[in-house]
Amino acid sequence: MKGVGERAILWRRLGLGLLGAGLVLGLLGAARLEVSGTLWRARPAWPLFSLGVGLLALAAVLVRRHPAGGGGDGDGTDQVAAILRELRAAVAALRQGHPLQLETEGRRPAALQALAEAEAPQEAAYLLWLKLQLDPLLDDLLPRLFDARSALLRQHGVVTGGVFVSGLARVERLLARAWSAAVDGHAPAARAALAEAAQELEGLALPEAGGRPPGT
Amino acid sequence: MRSYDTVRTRLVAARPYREVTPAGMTLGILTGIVLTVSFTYTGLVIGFVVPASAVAAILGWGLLRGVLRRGTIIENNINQTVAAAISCSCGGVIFTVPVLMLLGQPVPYGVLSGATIVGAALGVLFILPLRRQMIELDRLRFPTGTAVAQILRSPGAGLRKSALLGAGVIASAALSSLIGLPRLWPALPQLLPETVDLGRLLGLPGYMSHVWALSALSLGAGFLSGRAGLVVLLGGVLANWLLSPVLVHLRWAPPDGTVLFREINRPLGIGMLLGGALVGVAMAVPLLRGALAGLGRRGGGTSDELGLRSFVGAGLVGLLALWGLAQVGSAGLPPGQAALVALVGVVYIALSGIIIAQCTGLTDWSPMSGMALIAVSLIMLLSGHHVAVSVACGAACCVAMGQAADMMTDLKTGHLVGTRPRLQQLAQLSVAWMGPPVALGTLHLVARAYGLGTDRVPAPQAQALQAAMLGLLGGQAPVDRYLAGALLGGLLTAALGGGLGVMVGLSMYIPFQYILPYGLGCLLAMWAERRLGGRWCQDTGLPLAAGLIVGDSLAGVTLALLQVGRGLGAVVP
Repeated sequence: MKGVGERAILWRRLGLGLLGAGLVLGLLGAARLEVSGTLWRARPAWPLFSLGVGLLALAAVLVRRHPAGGGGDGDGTDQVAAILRELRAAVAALRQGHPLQLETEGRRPAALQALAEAEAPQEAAYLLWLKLQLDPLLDDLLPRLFDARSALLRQHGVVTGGVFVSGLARVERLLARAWSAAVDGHAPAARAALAEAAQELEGLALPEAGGRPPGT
Repeated sequence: MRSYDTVRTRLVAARPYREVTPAGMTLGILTGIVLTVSFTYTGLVIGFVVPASAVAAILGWGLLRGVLRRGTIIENNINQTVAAAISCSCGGVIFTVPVLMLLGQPVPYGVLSGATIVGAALGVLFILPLRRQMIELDRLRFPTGTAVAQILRSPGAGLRKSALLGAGVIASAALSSLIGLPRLWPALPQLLPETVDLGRLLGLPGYMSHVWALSALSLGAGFLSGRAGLVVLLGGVLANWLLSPVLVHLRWAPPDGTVLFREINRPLGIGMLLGGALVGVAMAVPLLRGALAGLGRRGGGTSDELGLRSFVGAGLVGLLALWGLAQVGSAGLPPGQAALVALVGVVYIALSGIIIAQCTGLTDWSPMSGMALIAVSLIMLLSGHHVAVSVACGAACCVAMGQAADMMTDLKTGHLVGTRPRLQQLAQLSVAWMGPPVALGTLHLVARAYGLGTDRVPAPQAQALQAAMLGLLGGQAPVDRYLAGALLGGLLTAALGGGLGVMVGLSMYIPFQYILPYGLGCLLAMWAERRLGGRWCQDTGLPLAAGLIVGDSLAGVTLALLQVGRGLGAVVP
């Protein structure tokens, strides 16, 4: 299997090399000007241009048949599944009013820790707490999830994987809305957005490899 | 730890969260109209316009939150969306309509108003199905959209981030003012040049462009684009530092940087943009089909987005309207020919909107004038060289492109602060029609007061389009370059996807002096990511880069207002 993977990488590198060469030759062929009287006129060098186009077409076939990380295992999905579990737990905890237990916990200010442990937050305190809890979700956790989207789209296809990534993006927007409402001091809107995000997350299932989007 | 349900029940009866409000809409409309007048005048003088979103967002904070003491982040996002929706039309008007005046042709204001209003509506509606692709899946950065989100989020971003944002704004605004103010008042000393020619210092030949624009905006946009924007730098290097010297060395082109850019890079770049975008759309067909089906399913009024009916209805109404206008404007153009012109116009509006929105999302630059040239050329061909119809359709396409790019930029901002897309789309649609008449009215007044194509109001973009149209009428359009570029751009996108053809095309189309600082920003972001970590980029680099973009916009708007003030001073005794 390792030999197959190495060959695929070599083919891809060859394709990328041909892509560069084809682009340069194609541009050179298309860019030629010639002196005509006192003016420079466009006279493309068609043989050179055709060679460039041919190389580009060959490169396109090679690169598409051997995509980056092609034939990979389920690492991308496993990683996404783990972060998704973490995200679900975090949002559920936020709805219940529990402090997050994320890897980024070290960033939580001491004042917030005291606030969370006081167990009697008033509206403003709750909103401040919520905003500070959402910061690591929006800044750390979701970006990590979206970083893995390329692998996911490659693994499951642009349609099936796209449905999942699009759902995640909706969760991101709803959490951003909760953050904005918290900063604006509007607790009902923040809670409503959190509830919507949680609902969206509940309905969000990782697509099966090569299969149809969940729920279809 | 107890649940917060008790707190919730106490708060259910509280006032609703402020989103679309009369105050926000009114402020957005007023800001939009004032900025449209300013940008139309300055665009006719200096040839380009600046984005209005950042200024509107800052004004929104001052008035909605500072004075009225009740503005919210989402409400300010709607205010900024409205202001930008009105003012983004002026670019489309000033790039195209003055051509009629420069050619000494009658200006059919009624037809032009109708065409540009139709263009504004189509531009917004046709781009809606692409929101999911560009913002949710491709996650394009839309540097200005990201920067505006930083402004909107500043009340909750913490002191350090706000200070960094402010530092970026001050540095960038100071740089732009030092460069721009002496142009306005020649008596002031020119402390900083607009560009630095490193090529001359290094002894490089003139055709190997090594000129750096002192543009904080380009640097900031590059930083926000990061690795994804590096292709633009590579494309620029390929065109300017590899292709040009080889062509000159082979004696296939003259050793003249201007000729190389105008005759080779620009037309090839436009072609690559078109080809890359066409293949990109073709590759995204399965996803687009899904998006349209999704819009159809959710069209009941409770979804996040406007439904499929809006999209289809816009296409049909736009087609009919352009068909009618083409007949009125051409005074006897047969209905069949008018229908063909309208059909091509509508299809082109859809395609060019995608290209412009993608370019804006990737780099913050939009190749609007190049796309306008293609539109005018196409319509001239189809209408039997009818200049008025061509310019009207070109103006409609240009306004549509501006609206498409602005809608996507604002939707990106809205995504980052949590605004419902449907609200933003409705807000933009409800005011997009206002920009074209304001811009046309301003253009009319300026033309009457000063004339166009004069030293005072040179209308540089329109002069460039006029020259291209005259070339077209003389049979000198570089059609072979467009087609060759389209083939190359299409193959690039087919090979690697991700808008590669569009990016390389853009890098050949944009003057290299702006690509260099943009590329430096990309490299800085990659270096910072590796050496200082993603956390530093998020907490320090992002607000600083956003500040650079916002500061440039602020300085641009201030200079525009000063210029309008000077113009009025010259007219009013």
